[in-house]
Amino acid sequence: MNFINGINVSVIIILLGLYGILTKRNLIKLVMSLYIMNSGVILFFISLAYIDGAQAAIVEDGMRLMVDPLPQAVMLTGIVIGLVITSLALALILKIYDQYKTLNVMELIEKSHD
Amino acid sequence: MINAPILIIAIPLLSAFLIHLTKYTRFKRAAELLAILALLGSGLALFSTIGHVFSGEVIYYDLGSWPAPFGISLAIDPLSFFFAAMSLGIGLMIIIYSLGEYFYARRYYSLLLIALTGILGIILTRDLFNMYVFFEMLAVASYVLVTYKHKARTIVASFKYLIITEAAWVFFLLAIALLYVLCGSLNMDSIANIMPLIYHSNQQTIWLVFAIMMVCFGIKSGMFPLHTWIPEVHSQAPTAVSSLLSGLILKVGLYAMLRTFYLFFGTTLMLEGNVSNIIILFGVVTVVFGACMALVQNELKRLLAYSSINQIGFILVGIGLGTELGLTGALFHIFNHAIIKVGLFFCAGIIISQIGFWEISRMKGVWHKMPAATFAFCLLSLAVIGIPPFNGFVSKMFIVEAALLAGNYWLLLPLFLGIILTAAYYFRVIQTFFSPQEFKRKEDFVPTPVGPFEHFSTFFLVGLCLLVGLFPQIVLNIIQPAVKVLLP
Repeated sequence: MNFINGINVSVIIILLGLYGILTKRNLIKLVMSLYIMNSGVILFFISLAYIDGAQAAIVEDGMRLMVDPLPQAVMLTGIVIGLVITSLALALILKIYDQYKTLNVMELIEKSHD
Repeated sequence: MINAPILIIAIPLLSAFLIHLTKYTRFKRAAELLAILALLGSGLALFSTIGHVFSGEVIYYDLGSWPAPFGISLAIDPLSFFFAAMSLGIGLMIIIYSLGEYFYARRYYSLLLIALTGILGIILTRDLFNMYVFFEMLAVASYVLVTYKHKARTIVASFKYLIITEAAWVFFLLAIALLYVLCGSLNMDSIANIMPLIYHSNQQTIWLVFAIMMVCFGIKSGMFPLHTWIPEVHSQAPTAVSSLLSGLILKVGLYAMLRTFYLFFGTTLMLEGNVSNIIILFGVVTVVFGACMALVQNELKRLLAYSSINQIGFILVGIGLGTELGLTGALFHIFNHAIIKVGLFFCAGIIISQIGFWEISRMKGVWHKMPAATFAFCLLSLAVIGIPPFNGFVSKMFIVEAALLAGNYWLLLPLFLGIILTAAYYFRVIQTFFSPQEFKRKEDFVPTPVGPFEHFSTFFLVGLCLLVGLFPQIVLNIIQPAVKVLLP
């Protein structure tokens, strides 16, 4: 039994991202954790459809094993959405830094509620 | 007619990008005109299906003509018809209000149409992943809309909203992956067919999926422990955007909850696993918590945001009860709360635009200077409390009656407590408005004149509240077939 497979690795990546979101106080690190978590889910979804030794689903004569193409198609969209969210978040961080000159969540809460 | 489902989504989406081209036309307000025309066109496509939908036919449209389990399918049934009609109507009112409030740029109308496209897409789609994509589209548009005026605190509020929502929606993707493994399809109808067969062998996974979805839709709809983004974002956003958030985006979370829970987990599974009790419990806590927090707020828009949380609690109780009467009440209260709260935000926007302050304590004697807006605010707050000639009374009566008929007598205490507290915090605001003192404007604040657009949209909603309150059958005729979709 091989324990280093896509599903196990992806679960570890998701948990790493979750740990980052829960503990980090820096806005950029928060966004990084979010993106790590997103990548973990994408890896999870793709490894679900992985079959050892199978081919891509371009049907030809004499093919026996095929990989399910739907998760891959779906995750392409998922990657794009993750990118959109990350870039929007970074743009917001730029604006926040312009205004408050800090990236620390705790300082930001103090400054923005004056 | 057959192409109606895709046209409803495509017309606003196309116009959202065409709006940027109106820079090259000579008309001054071409962007606004195009936005209104897009919503009217979308509405026309929706209403062309009315005969078929209410004769019990479900209109399917397969994207790219791939048949249903493989491709993405869109569908209009009475439930989606009800929500789509509500979203288009409220969207139109918000655009009419924005015409007068502030000279918004093309960007604003473009983003508003993208947000409405997301809402309509969520309502019409039958593919789970497609629903996720539309949710993200709505979310991205709303993050940018919230920051429209580029004030520092607005951007922080928007960032908070982004982190809270996206952290949950990553897990929604995980839930989709788990459901795909279990059911082998992402089509909602086929998942619903397979679910009873696999429930007993995969109980833990299905409960995990349920829990993730409850959290995700709870965040969107403002359920109690997940509501933290609502007050900050609602109070910081421009008024038109606050009303979009409160009127439609919260309701879309509730729609997704209704659609997925009743379709996937079915009424029998829901009762077996105590799902209904879980939703009722969260609903009750939301009612009491929202009301208590609204009592102590000092900013008008923050109070309205907590009031939204309070009313969402009533809807959750109706959804959780799961009886025909309870669901009728929940759907009716979704409609009523949408029109009432949008109207209240419009009134708050008019009043704040004249004074420059957000605090309720500085709004003394608003009545003498702005009788129209104050009058509308009073009528709408009577509606949201549930005083008889208005629509809020009818839907709240349905929910309370459903709780009684289901034998949940203990529910009466928190529900009536919620109603009484609602009265308490709205009367506090109204008392300040009618105070004999005069309010003072913020120093060096120049009030923008309030035009006919704001008054028209506000009083249209007030009239609608009164009309629906006097003749609830108008809306109930649409809701009853929609409830039959949920409880076959």
